[in-house]
Amino acid sequence: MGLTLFTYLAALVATLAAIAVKSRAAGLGAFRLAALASVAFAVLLATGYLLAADYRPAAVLLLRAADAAAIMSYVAFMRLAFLYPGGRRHAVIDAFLFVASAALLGFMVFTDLYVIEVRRFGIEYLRFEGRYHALVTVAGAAVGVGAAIVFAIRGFISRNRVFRQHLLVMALGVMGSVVWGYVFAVLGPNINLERLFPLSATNILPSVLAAAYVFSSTRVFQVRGVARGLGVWTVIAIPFSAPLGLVTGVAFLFRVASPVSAIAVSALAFLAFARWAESFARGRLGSSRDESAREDLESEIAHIDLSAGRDTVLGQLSAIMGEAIGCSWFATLSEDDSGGLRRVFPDDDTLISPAGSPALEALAAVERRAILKSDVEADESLAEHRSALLAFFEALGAEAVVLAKEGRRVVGVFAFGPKRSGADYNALDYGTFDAVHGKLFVVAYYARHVARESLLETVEQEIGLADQIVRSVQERIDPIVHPGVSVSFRCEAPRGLGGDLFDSVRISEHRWFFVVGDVSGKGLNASMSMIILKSMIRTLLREEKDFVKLVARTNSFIKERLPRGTFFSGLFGFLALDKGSIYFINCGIPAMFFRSPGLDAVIEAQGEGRMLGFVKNIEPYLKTRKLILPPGSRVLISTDGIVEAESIRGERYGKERLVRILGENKDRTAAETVDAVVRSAGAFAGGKLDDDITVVAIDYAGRPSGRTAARPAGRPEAGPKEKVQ
Amino acid sequence: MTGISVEVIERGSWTVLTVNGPINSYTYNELQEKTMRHAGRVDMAVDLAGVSSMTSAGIGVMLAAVEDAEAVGKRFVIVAPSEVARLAIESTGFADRFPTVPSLKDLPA
Repeated sequence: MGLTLFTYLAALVATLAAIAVKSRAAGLGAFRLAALASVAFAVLLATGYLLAADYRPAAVLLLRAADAAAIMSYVAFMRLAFLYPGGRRHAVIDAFLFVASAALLGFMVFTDLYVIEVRRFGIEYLRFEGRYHALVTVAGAAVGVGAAIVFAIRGFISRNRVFRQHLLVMALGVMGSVVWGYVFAVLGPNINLERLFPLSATNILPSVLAAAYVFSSTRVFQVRGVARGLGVWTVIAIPFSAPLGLVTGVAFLFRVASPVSAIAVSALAFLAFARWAESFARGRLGSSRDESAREDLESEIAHIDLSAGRDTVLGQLSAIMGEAIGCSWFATLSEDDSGGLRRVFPDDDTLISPAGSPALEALAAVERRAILKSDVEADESLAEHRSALLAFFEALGAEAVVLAKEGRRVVGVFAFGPKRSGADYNALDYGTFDAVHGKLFVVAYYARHVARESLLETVEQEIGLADQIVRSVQERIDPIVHPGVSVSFRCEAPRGLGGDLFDSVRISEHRWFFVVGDVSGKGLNASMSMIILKSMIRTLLREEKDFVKLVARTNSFIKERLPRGTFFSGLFGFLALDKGSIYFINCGIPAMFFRSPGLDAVIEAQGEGRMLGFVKNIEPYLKTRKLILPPGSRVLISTDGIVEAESIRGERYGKERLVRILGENKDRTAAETVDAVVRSAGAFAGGKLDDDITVVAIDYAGRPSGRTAARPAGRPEAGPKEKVQ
Repeated sequence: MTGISVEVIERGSWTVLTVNGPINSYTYNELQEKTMRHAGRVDMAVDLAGVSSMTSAGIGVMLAAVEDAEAVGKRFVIVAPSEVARLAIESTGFADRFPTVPSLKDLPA
């Protein structure tokens, strides 16, 4: 009886696997029907077997229904074999199969022609077969074998390697189920192994899991990957299943435990062993090795000398990626001035996709960092862009691409040719692309913004090159141009390169998102981190509508993707000019001052803040605040470069001087005030600031309609959870 | 521009870096270099009692050292931070990420 536990577990596993499938591929309905019938088979058979000792009339009905469900599952798999991946449904065939299944169910369950009676004495199981038992059994098995053959034939003739592999996997899965069922349900009882009969319904696992895999995967797998997966599974299964089987068997042998306590003991055994086995397997069977290799690859890309010139830089990157990925060739495409994509490495300057072309639109629309050609062919979520993307892959002859995008703009594309080994790109490669995306992004920006090597002779080396990138990135903002507001900012670095950042993105006619702050580190590293962060914030802004979650995801990106020790101190703001308000989250900005004309006083408004990059999950620490702006008010925001500026005597510039400048310049424009602050801090520091500085001034004139704010304002208050749009 | 000095000594199982002077974008390189040389390899303590100012550059060096140590299970503590160093650390909002002891005598065994 203990073996029925495994049948219930198999039903549970099959159910979870079927529920987990999220796909839009053809044949999904047939798969779900097949999974449902398979699970019904397992549950009915296990329950009928348990009842066969004391409740024979009920047991015989359940066991007849179980076998009918098994046959129906094979019929559904047969239907799937014709539908997947691109077959069309025919209502007449579906209706016929439904009627035939119902007739079969009635014939098998409510007559004695299939099974007459079942009895069980302990582990001895007796089945009295009806006149048509053999015929129905053979016919049912034939449907299963037939489904496997159809899968196999369609797999062998499929030109698409992903679908070929999918169809062959399903052929093996269904065939495995048929053989497994035959061994335990037919062969076993004939060789005095009838006690294994309860395991016959665990045969649902190969077919359901194979199909679930097919509907969940868009990539081919490699033998190495499968071997590794089996290794991990074995390491987990052996120490888990040995004590599990022992405990369950002993418990039932001596009848000291109920099924419930046996399951509880089994669960405890699982928890104890699975955790250990997982860490053991991770350490020895590859996943940590993969992570280490990815870190090495990231490090190699990060150490490319950007001062060497574009052709050299891209040549070095090509060599690194060729070695790491094993691709036969590597190419870099970069956005040109017209917005099209040109091949810049190898530098033949071929226009691959003109601005506005379907391929470029598709690349912009797809929300992925990397795309494998097999994804495009097999992933239904890409169906809308399939033809355009396939044309792009064909034009390049590429098998995989990594995208560098800023919002919807494609800044660059890295294309990878077929592998030298002839193998296909798989999930491991995708993981590698995903892991090094941040570093590739920097190179894409470099390729986009640094002119050709031949044109660079007049430009100074590292500083000049990097400064060119940084300035071009810093200057790319949606300027806040609106009749109700005047915004001015200055972003400066004492060495020409810095990590300070100001960016604004227009959300709607009266609303802007903005971010101001400082990425830690100095010089080129800080600049590169700032570039990546700015782009990432813009991308996240498109995906994430919740203000707090936007900041939390930015924090996660800094923590997980930027170099160790990188953090961001600043402020995320949402300027709602139609409401006369600023919603903001302080992430460690040292100074945000508010000056109200009504009060003629300056208020420090930033409140407490937590910098980004220190903890994995910052969401619990984030607080949205709201600052109501009366007409004529001014907000001044500064990074620590101003506040922490030191005089030659070692004095700090401090907030008091900032407040004084703000008061002294109350009648001047935002731009004049920003200039005054920068001049004042520079003079204080003896003309040489130590740190990067960013100063932003926002002068609010009033709502667009001319109405004034309804509430007297100035003091920030804790705000509700605001949506960005 | 005043420079900093970073002295390295061994104290029991700890490697102690004693920093004196301002930590800013001009001076942090020496601290970063010596910190990176030891962080994640040994139990490291950084004595900040003599720090006269500390910008985000210094915080970044400390954070990287903390994360390096955490990644491999080594210990990292800050010793007796000066007032300005303490304020700089507290300005992050995550002072608890930087384990601190009041003096070298208080270093765990």
